[in-house]
Amino acid sequence: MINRQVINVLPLKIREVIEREFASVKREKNLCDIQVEEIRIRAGKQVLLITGKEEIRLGVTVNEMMIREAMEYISGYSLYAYEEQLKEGFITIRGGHRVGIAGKVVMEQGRVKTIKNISSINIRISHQIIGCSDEIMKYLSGNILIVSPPRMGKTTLLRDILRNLANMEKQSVAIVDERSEIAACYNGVPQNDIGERCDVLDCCPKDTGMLILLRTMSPTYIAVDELASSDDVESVLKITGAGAYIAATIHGGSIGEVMKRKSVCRLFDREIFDTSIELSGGFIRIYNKDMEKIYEGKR
Amino acid sequence: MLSVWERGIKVSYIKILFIFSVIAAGAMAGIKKGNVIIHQYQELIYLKKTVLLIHGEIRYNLGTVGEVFLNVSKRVKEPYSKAFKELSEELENHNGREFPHMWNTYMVEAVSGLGLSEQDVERFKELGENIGYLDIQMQLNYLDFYIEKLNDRISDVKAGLDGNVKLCRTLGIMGGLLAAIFLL
Repeated sequence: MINRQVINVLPLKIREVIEREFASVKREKNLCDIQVEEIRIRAGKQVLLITGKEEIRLGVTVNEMMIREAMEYISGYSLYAYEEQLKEGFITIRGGHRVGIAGKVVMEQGRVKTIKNISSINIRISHQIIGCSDEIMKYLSGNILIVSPPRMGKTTLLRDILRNLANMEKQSVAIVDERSEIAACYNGVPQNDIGERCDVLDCCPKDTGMLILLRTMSPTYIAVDELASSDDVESVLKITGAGAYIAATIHGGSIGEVMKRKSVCRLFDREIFDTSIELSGGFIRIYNKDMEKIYEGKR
Repeated sequence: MLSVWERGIKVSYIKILFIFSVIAAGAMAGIKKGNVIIHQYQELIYLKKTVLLIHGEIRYNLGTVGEVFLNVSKRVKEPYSKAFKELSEELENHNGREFPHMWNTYMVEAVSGLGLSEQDVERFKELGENIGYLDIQMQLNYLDFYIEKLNDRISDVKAGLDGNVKLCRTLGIMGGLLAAIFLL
């Protein structure tokens, strides 16, 4: 199954082929459903659908016009509105799906100005799995960190943890959704289930957003996806010092590896996180503040 | 039976009535033509207001053209409102049509019926060929350029407005008088 919002940004020809071939693949493999995680569109190559287990090659070769058509749909005919995101190499579309872009980079004064002659598009389909954190909620307390490599479900798990937290009485969760991937707001309304007591600061840089929410929304939890810069770390230290809890994710192979990373090691030096969750190799491991494993289970 | 004298009076009345009708028709035609010029001027002013709204929405909200047009549709009168709304909906459909074609279908079509000159409509059509293209600065610069051209056009129409309206009305009355004299 591919989300309708994702199908809608694909060029007409690819849409037709997906609808035709997807049905035949399902028939051939006797599947009632295929969960597509990524759609890869590369100029001059066949379109690839990546599922959790395999690649499905579609019988359509991508040309320049198709890439242009896809970019028009992805940007809503308004590339100017995504100038800042393009510099980062991705655009988030409605539903919180992230579209990665590769092409020729245009530099200005040593910084990326934009990407032109786009040759590859990678659509990462966001999945909302309601209830995926229910089993582990009892192990979570205080500041929460989720560490995992890409495509292991960090954001999905964080979203569900936030949903559970925001459904608890006397909790108030505030999300800085820099890339609109957690709540996936459209016209200000979250498209994903993020619970009853949740406020979203959409498209705001994490470091600034955390401080704004701390001052304005009196949150018990502030959540961000993909902590990376030293500015992000600085803001986390400020909000935790001011009495709010943080729930965050970081890209990384393991917690041990992340702890050595220069930009974020300060958080571990100061023992900020009360609970750390590691997702790797199909397993979920939870550690307490003293880095003792308190839970291990299969995902 | 009417006497010859009475019949003459009746014919004179009919003639006077006819002369007044011809003069009134000429005057009405002149007034109508004058009103067309006033209407054109007002429509140009409203078009400028509409484009300024688009400019503001792009500059302040940095939304996609679909969002911009939907917001603008709530702030403008018909036929702009309906055209912007329908264009915004079509932009969501992703049906393979390029933006300038959609712009022509909805916006140029709507503006064509407003009594603007062919040149004004053509320039409005060109606007659609450049919306959404390149970066934010390009969008704002192009809209500024369009507004500047619109200002020039409004100034031209305004400069001739009083003279042209008066001329049309006078010509209408004079034409009516002339026609009446010929008919007598």
